[in-house]
Amino acid sequence: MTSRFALPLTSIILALTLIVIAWHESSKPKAIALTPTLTNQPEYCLTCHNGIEPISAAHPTEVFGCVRCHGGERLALDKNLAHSTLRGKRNPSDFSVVEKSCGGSDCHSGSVKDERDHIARVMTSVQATYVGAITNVYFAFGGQPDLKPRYGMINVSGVDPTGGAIKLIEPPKSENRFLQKFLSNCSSCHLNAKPINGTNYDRLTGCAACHALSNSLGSYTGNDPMVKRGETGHANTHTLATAIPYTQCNACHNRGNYDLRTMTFNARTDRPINRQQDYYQPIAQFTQCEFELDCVDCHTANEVMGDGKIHENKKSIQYIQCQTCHGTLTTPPQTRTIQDVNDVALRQAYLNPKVPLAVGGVIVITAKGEALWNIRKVANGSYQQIGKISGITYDMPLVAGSKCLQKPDQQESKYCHECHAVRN
Amino acid sequence: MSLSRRLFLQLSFGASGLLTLGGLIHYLGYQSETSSAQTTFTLDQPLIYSIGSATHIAPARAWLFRDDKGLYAISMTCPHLGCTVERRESDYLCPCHGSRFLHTGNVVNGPADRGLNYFKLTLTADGKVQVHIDKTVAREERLKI
Repeated sequence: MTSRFALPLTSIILALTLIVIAWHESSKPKAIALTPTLTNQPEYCLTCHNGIEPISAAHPTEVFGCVRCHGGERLALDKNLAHSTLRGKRNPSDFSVVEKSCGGSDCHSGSVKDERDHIARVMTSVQATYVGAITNVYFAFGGQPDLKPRYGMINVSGVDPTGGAIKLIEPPKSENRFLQKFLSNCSSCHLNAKPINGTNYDRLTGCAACHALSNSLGSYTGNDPMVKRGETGHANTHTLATAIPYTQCNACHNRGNYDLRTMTFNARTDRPINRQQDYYQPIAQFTQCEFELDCVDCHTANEVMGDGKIHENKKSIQYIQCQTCHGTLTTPPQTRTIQDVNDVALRQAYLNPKVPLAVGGVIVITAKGEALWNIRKVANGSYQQIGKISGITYDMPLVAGSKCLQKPDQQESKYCHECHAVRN
Repeated sequence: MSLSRRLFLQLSFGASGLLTLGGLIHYLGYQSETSSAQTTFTLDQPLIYSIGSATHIAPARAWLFRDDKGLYAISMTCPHLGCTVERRESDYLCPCHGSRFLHTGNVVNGPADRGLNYFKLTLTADGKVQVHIDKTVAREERLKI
């Protein structure tokens, strides 16, 4: 090639290159940078996820950003590269990654004393370990010699101050078709298990199983333009809840039943049309309050999220009784006056602005001293309960002075149902 | 001056080549945004701020106060995780996790385990107040007026 053509040819090639680059660049969305104050490192996730809901008031986007919790390549504008190092794929609270995503001494792996050890505690909960069902089924079908908790859906050791520990469940050593079927068909009932496809209730795994509210289809209805509408496996929106409505509990507790004769799960096929039909175990009896209140209005954080100890079954950790709130024939419910500004009850109430609480307030406590911070004694000496989700204030009827013939040793719900059950 | 056809072509191709090269160099030399956030904020003359005044310096995430000893600035960044606290009538409240601080910056309740920082204040050459949010000082320190 002569020098006569060299310059024009080079110029044309360079110009074409520039056109290609310009076209390539114009096809990309305009980069949106965010530099969260917590990390002080720019990230470009909002370039595509522009419009996504802030995850919660406790985790403002401008403070946390996305990468601190989700991981991912913060500078990448290519979807595959950006997502290549995501923790837990869509869900950073999956137990396989939760310590890295949500842990840390300033976050959810704080001190036991301050009850900020959320991650460690939830690992001991029967909802995470599934230890109650496993222990009972393994004992009943010859998989272990007694009802001592041995196996769970996760390893738990070094947490329980009393030395309790469980191992990851392993298949029975001998041929045992019941236990083999149990393992293959009945192990979707714990926090870190994916729900069975086709059931009427969807949810995420890990912490998000409860704290990221899902609709029954598992579809997303928020404003992130990147999430396909109608796709399953999503929370309803990209938000965390501290007040968990009964509908989220139903994602596990009302989706059907296991049949131990056949070791299969029979998913509920009907679509409940009202709250009473939707309620846990449609054939059972319930009192009025069980229909009107949400599960978390009575069940405590320790009951639901674990107390840091290995419990052999649900009954062992679920300790709220009727008398906890309604008192006995002779005594009112136990109470405590909030005196410390760092009282955990104040912190819990702060996260749920529906319940006004301040130093000097008198709240009902459980037999173990755990705060029922939404039930308080008011000025005239009566007791009020505020629905954590509904915000409705209920006057708390006491047993003392009523027609109730409660026996202090008969505190299971069935005894209350004898008089107070309402029609389903 | 007459311009031959050959020279015109050479010049125009050369110029377009240089422009293209420039664009290419600009593209290849792209640097992602760095985290060089502003750390010094210049305010007004000190006498603007009367004794007992409280002035919100939103870009610096700080409040500027003046007492009888001088000026001082308190950070609005919660020492727990970095949320911006809100100044209320009797305290500062962190909206993220509920930490509270007295107006002096002392922590009332956690999860924050320490008080709010005080920022260094200086004067510019033309006598304006500057707040340096990358430098903290003792609580007693004042910019004397």
